Amino acid sequence: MSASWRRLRALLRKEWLQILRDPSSFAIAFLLPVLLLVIIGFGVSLDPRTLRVAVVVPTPSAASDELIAALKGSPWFQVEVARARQPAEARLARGELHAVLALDGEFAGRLAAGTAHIQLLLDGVDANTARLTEGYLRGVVALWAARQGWQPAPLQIETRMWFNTAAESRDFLIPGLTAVVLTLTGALLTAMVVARAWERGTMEGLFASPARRLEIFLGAFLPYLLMGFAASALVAAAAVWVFQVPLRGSLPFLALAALLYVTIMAGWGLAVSAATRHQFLAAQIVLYSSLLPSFMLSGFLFDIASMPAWLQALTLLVPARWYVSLQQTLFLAGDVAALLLRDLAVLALMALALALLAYRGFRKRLD
Amino acid sequence: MWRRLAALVRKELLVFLQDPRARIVVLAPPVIQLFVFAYAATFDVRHVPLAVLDRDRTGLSRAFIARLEGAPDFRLVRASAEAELRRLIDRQRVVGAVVIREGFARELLAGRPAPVQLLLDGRGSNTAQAVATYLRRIAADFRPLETEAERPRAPPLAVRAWFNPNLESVAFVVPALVAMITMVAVMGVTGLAIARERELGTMDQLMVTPLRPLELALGKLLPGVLLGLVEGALVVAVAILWFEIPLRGPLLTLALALLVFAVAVAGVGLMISALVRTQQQAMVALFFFIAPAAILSGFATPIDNMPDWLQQVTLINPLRYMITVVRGVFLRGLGLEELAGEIWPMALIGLITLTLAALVFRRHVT
Repeated sequence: MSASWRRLRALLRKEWLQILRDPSSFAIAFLLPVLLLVIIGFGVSLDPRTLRVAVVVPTPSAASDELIAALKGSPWFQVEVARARQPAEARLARGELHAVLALDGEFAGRLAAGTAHIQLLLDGVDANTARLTEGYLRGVVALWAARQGWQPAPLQIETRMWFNTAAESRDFLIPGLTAVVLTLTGALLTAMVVARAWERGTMEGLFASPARRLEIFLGAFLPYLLMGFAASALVAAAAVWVFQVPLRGSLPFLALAALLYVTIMAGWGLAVSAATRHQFLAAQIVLYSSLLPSFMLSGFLFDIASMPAWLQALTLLVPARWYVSLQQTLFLAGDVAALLLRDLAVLALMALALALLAYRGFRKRLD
Repeated sequence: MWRRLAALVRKELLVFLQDPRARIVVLAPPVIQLFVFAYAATFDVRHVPLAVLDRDRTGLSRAFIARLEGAPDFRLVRASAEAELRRLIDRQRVVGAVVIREGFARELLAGRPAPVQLLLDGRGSNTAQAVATYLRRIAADFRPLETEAERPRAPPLAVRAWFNPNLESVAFVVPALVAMITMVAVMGVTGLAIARERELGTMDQLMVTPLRPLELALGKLLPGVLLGLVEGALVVAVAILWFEIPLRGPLLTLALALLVFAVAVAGVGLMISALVRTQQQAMVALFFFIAPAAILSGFATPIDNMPDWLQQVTLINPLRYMITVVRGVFLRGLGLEELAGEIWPMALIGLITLTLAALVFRRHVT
């Protein structure tokens, strides 16, 4: 089973021309990665920029003035002050405010008596933003209480965020984005172009040529491997230079991870196209079996630890899960040996299995 | 005209329901999307693993740990040394760690703030921040000793979340799926409608029938809108019956908005269909529309968090308005009056997409 370099080169050239010729494969190979990088990179963020908060103060006092000043001093909030509760609540109901902080009429008096409390109403429709709003507001209120010289809270919590001191969601989203982009160039593109060869019978033509099985397989496999690899380099470069995500791990590991993941994706694309021999069907199957999981079940955006147990178990089968974990660790934490070995080992196994599965599809015979 | 149009719509629906490829595009996605999205798309913090290291080892520190144990947000993992914490966080076994410092009980008894350290894994900074918020909430209510205060106590926060008291992501995600699934269905049908006839060579047959161009265009538009509305209605039913999301506003407002929205995206689908040559190309073109529309709609992450220039771009996205409407009706109980501001932009977008579709249709099809 030896491969002739000349024949392989001819096959690679053929595959490359096929990608360039068809507008849809060209679009998926070159336009989609860039489009997704820009749209997801800039558009997907979990960090609030400005939270609109109304403070209801029926009777202003020195303490309430200082609360408003503390809120205005925070970069998170756009503060408006109201006397009456009704209009503020109506705006909260329509979704025009994120939160209402309400003091009652006898706030100053109750404060002295030790019975005062502050009511915080949140717009719960977006649960995540509501939770973050509560967290930030608690911080400001604690700061204000300390400045007033009141008895401090019984516990003093000192928080430290490792690997991502500023708690920027972008820093963990962008490294994981590679998984989504590579699924497209790896699996979808492969499935479409190679399934077309099956569908139109050009694969049979190849079988009838002197090209060997391994050569045909490599001819359909290597171009997508290279393009996926190039796409991952593009995303990594954009992550570091455009989105300013730190890269703390080492490049060889990053490259190895990308290589394994692209092998898995291209292998899956080839296996599906050989099994369906139908480009439309192949593309649909790949869309739902790899693109959707790479977005939803990979931990790229939604934390796997919070999913129901049956879904968590399902994510173990999703290659993107292991790849996203590697990416986030390599970019933000560095070379954590134990984690790298585990994730790379899982990916290597999956890559081997899928490469073999894909190779099986290239039997030189017609059914 | 009506008879001819009705015949064409009937033919389209029949062809559609008989074509296995078309069935895959239109019937598989809603089911997969509905269940995967509803269960996986969560920002909630529920039973997340959190390490705890007690270096004080007193009754009071154990009382605090018991309080953490009682919270549904965390699943505690006991650690016995600082190095172990590092290892647990590094390997993502836990999302963070609570360290109760030595002197915790001593400081508490002396009426001074007792030191607690919270270490978080920034590789998931969103979950980390939610953990921090919940820990602060628990800490604020932790008053094991009722001491007589010599200074006034800081007023506690009484927190109430409107519309979604337990702050569950499912209430945020599932209503939005009504809009998302309707869009995918409408575009799946209209986007492939003309491309399929072209690919099979039956377009020429349609041209020689007495159908007028307008009838032909409408006949290609209506089946998609119809199917989209049916799927949208099914998702509404599943949201109410299976996911138990209360429908607080008027159903009629939702139906009206959904109709306007379906027509607006059908225009986009028809335009794509008239421009491409094969179903394969149609699918890729649909993907180029649907993926950005979904990401820039506020479906998963808020539009408010995007940079200003991108927020401007979302104004031309019909899905953005529909998601606001469906969340408004379901969760906030808003009606036509409050949501008119979201419906007319969709109508305007629809007018533009339909006009463009008609122009493209006339040029490339008839």
